[in-house]
Amino acid sequence: MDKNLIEVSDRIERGERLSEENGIKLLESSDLLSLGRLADFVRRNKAGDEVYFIANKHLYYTNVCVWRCKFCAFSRNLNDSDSYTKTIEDLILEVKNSENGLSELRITGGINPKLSFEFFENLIFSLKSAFPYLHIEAFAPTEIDFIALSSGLSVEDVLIRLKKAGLGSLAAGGAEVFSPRIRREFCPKKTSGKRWLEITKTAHQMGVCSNASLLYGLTETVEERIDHLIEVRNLQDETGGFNSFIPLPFLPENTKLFSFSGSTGFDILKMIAVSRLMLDNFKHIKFLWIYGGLKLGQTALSFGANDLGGTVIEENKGVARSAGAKNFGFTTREELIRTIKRADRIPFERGVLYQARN
Amino acid sequence: MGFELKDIAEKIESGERLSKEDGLKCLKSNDLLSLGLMADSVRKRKTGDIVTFVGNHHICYSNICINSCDYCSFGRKTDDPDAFTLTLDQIRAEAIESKKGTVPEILFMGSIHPDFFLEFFKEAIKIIKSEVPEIKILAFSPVEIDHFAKQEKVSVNEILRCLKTTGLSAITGGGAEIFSQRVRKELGCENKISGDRWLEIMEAAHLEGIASNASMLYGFIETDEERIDHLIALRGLQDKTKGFTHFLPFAFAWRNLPSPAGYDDLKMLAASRLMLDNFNHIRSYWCHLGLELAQVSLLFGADDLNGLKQKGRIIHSSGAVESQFVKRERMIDVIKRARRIPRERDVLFNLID
Repeated sequence: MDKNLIEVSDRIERGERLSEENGIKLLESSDLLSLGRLADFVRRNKAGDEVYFIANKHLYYTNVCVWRCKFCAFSRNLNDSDSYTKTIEDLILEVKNSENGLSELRITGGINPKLSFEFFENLIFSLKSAFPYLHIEAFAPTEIDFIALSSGLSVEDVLIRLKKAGLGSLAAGGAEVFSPRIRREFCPKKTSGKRWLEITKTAHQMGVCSNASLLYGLTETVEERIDHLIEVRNLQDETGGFNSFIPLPFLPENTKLFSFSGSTGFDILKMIAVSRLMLDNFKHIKFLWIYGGLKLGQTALSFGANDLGGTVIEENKGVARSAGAKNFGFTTREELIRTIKRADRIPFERGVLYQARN
Repeated sequence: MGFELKDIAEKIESGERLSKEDGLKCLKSNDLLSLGLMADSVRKRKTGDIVTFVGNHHICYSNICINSCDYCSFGRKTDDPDAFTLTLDQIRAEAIESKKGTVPEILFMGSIHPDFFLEFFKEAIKIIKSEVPEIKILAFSPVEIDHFAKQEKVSVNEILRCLKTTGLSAITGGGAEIFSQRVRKELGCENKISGDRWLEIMEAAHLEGIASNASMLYGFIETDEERIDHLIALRGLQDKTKGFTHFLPFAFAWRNLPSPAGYDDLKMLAASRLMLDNFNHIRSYWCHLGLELAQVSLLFGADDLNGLKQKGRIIHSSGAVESQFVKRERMIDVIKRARRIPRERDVLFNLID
């Protein structure tokens, strides 16, 4: 084992919380297999052998966005020929066409000033009325921020009304990396990291849970990555409202950031392992297989992950696929189950709150 | 480490050869990371931190084939609408094309064509050599060598000597598939040479001073035992001739069977590294694994990432997952980001400056 990992390894065995310095040592190590073994040890003790997945569908109500973050290949300007904003009827129809066996709708979109609070409220209400048995996970904290600002309502009021309309939980997204330096460079218009944490905290306190994520592979330092994890860990200590943590590799294809090589298989597995080791108050570390394929996804199960995301019925131009997650858009329940079993683990189809499905 | 791998780990540490039972234990184990750690330690000992790749150019002369192996979606019959055959002029044009990039290797490959004779291929090799004299030509597998010998009614040694004189540097390990006769039957390639014959021709080639690689096709229909037997047969021949430059396991998708999962790919590489103690190099095939997992496979015993260019349609039609070309810069970046040292090589694994 890399000798820089020995002290951290002892702490992990004793079940101690890791410090910022420990986290940095983990990220700086190139001994990926040892990181994997540590993460696998923690995963086994904390989360057992079940591997979770969900039958879900991603809905995008608009790709028009006034923020136009540099790392995003999904968003468009209002005047672009391929920009769209869907009607509520369109979205209902979209779900009807693929609702068979679904348990969750995940709804997100761009920051489109043409959309009013009534649209968002109606959207949730109509979908929940049409599909009362589906859990609705919608809007990242950044979208909630925008909805509150543009409607003049407080974040609390927005959440109260959306919850009443049928909102089940908030979507992951918009967290990116909290570092103000990185946000200034890549997404200057976006909700700040501090504000993201505030809104998430408010939601959790109102009983609306959510997921945390980290977009990595921009130009953030190892300290900035670890600081992000620690911020998330602190909020989880306070609220317990995060269901899972999702490290998201940055995929440079189709964005304007051609000079980037993005995240490779090594980075992806390392970040899974380090997230598992740092986030001692999270049970679920998710590898979204659409970001690297099922083969890598299965491998990630040995590096700390215990959730592979969903069967993911995502349209062609969804966020991940726009950014180069090609070939990886959809899998069947059977294929996910087989993949999990062949890693000698127990497939567990979950609901949004990690409950068993009926 | 899982208990079941303890004695294997001890053998590995003391450099002892693994038995068939050891190999089976490796494949049966789901302790993926321990297998990785063992394979990684062997890799470090054998090849250090250098990861090689080859800048290559493929010339595919035809897809018209007298065989019709069940798993192959490349071969065509003469009158199929998408059957193709290159003329000698087209082969010359391809050779000229290869000069655009700095490539040390041309992979000249194709089918068992009913109308082509040795003379045609000798001519093709001469043409390529005349256009790019410094290039190393990798061409034909034991299947073609056997075919030529039958056509010309001479020994395989004679064929091999003749091709070597013409300019052939190495032959490919194609047609090995998996040696088990049971699986070969099930794959519908009884027309193809047997595993024993493949080994015989390889031995002849090595003794004539023609190097080759060794390969294995793995997927869903062979047993663990058949995989290990295959490795042991290769190891046996390598003991005798030292003629294999490297070993390459191919994952494949057949009919509607799913392609192997990531675990299986990595375990297969690790088991190969552990079993094949007399092979210097283990090659990981990014076309099948995807570049991400191929990078990860560098921790599971692999030390070679194959070629940049994969124009070969044989590969594609048996289920490749990535686009078949990777830029040199990207390959170098991927290797560096695994904290290893990228080096370009030629067909004989000589490092190129």
